[in-house]
Amino acid sequence: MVKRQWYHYVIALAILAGIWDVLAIWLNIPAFPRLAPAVAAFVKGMAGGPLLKHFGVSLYRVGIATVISLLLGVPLGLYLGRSGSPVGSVFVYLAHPIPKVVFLPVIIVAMGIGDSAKIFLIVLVILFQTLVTVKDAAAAVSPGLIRSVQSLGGGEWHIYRHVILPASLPAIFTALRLSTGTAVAVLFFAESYAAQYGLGSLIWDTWASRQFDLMFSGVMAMALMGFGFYLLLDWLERLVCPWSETGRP
Amino acid sequence: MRDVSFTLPVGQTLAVVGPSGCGKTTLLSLIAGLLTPATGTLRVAGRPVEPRRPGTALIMQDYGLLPWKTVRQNAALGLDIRGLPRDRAEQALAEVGLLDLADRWPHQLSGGQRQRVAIARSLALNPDLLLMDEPFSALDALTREEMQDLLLSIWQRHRTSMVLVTHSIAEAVYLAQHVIVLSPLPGRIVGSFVNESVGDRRGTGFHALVNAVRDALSRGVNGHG
Repeated sequence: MVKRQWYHYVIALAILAGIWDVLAIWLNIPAFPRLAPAVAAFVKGMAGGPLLKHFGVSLYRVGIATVISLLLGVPLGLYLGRSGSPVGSVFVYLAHPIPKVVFLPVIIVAMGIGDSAKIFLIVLVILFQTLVTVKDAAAAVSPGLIRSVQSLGGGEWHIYRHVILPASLPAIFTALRLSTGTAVAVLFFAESYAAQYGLGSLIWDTWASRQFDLMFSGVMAMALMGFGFYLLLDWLERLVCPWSETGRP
Repeated sequence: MRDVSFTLPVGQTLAVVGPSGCGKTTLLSLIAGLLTPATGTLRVAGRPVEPRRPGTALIMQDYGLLPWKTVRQNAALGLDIRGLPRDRAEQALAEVGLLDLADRWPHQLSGGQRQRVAIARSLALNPDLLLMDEPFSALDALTREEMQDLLLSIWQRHRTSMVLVTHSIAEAVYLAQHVIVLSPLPGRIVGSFVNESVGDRRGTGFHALVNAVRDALSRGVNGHG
């Protein structure tokens, strides 16, 4: 992998900004503002404006949901992969393809319109992504490494601790990258109905009141959140999986 | 495997030679307690084999090093699992000459170095029975002889009982006081030798025994055992 430098980000960001502005000029509609006023609205909103509050609320919902699905999905996925439980496998494969977002109306009736309903919906969606990825990784662990730990006197706990978990860590990070993207998208959907705060509600409200610069400041904040998660995960993976840093294929 | 029976006196070394797929690895797994025999009995130090016997150490063909642990952590793995202090791992790494590379990852090592880590990992547990499955088969000729010498010097120092499975006749005769030859499946013993010339690669005793083992092996393969 080519090592990424700061100026690579600058160049890529400049290309993105260029595409945006060209599109805005070409479309020439109020709903797609030029770059400059949208960026101005973003900076103003983040620097003590209401945007920061919306951003914080959304970040909290996605963050808590990710942590919950990780705490549930990783141990369960490792266990299902290691034990090869057929019922567990079938259950995951049946439940995974069900589009969980359609349960939003039911969830709102059952849990109200507060944070918990939104967090629950996000967990419902990304938990199964995490489960499937982690389970497959745990099932694919080389039997030789398991025998190696057994031959040293290790029992099941040691096999999980020294083989299954570390072998699945790269897959857990892959699952996290996938799920943060999905989580932000589900968040937008969950905040589109009866939400007072959150980037999703901001985008819908400003859309309805035709404040398109503000609307795009919300879009940018969402993009920033997704990007922030990626940077955080890259950093965490280097910290947690140092062996893969040294040029392992 | 059928009618395989042998006894290894404490502190001595045994090599099991046989064609691929004759059950050599199965035999080691049985002795290590990783498998249970369908029929027959197996005793280590007078007691029936139990899984996870603390004194038994197994070195596997692919070394069994964990890619996410450094050399030092790999060498200490058995100690960690048993809840023992880690200092014996340092000693063992020093004994195989790898202390300088203790902070490397396994994928940064050569085949011979990985083999040394695997040996150190077993030595750290202070075993009374060391089992080895084709330990040097993946190494080039020179490294292989170097590792054989290392193993021999370790044995001379510790006098650990050793069972070594190999398809190299020369390796068996160089390293082991007892050599048994297995036939293809079902594996039976087609030759059993006591070796007077351990640690000698050039003498007439070595060559005579190599030839005797080779004859037994081809008798077994051709089915006139």
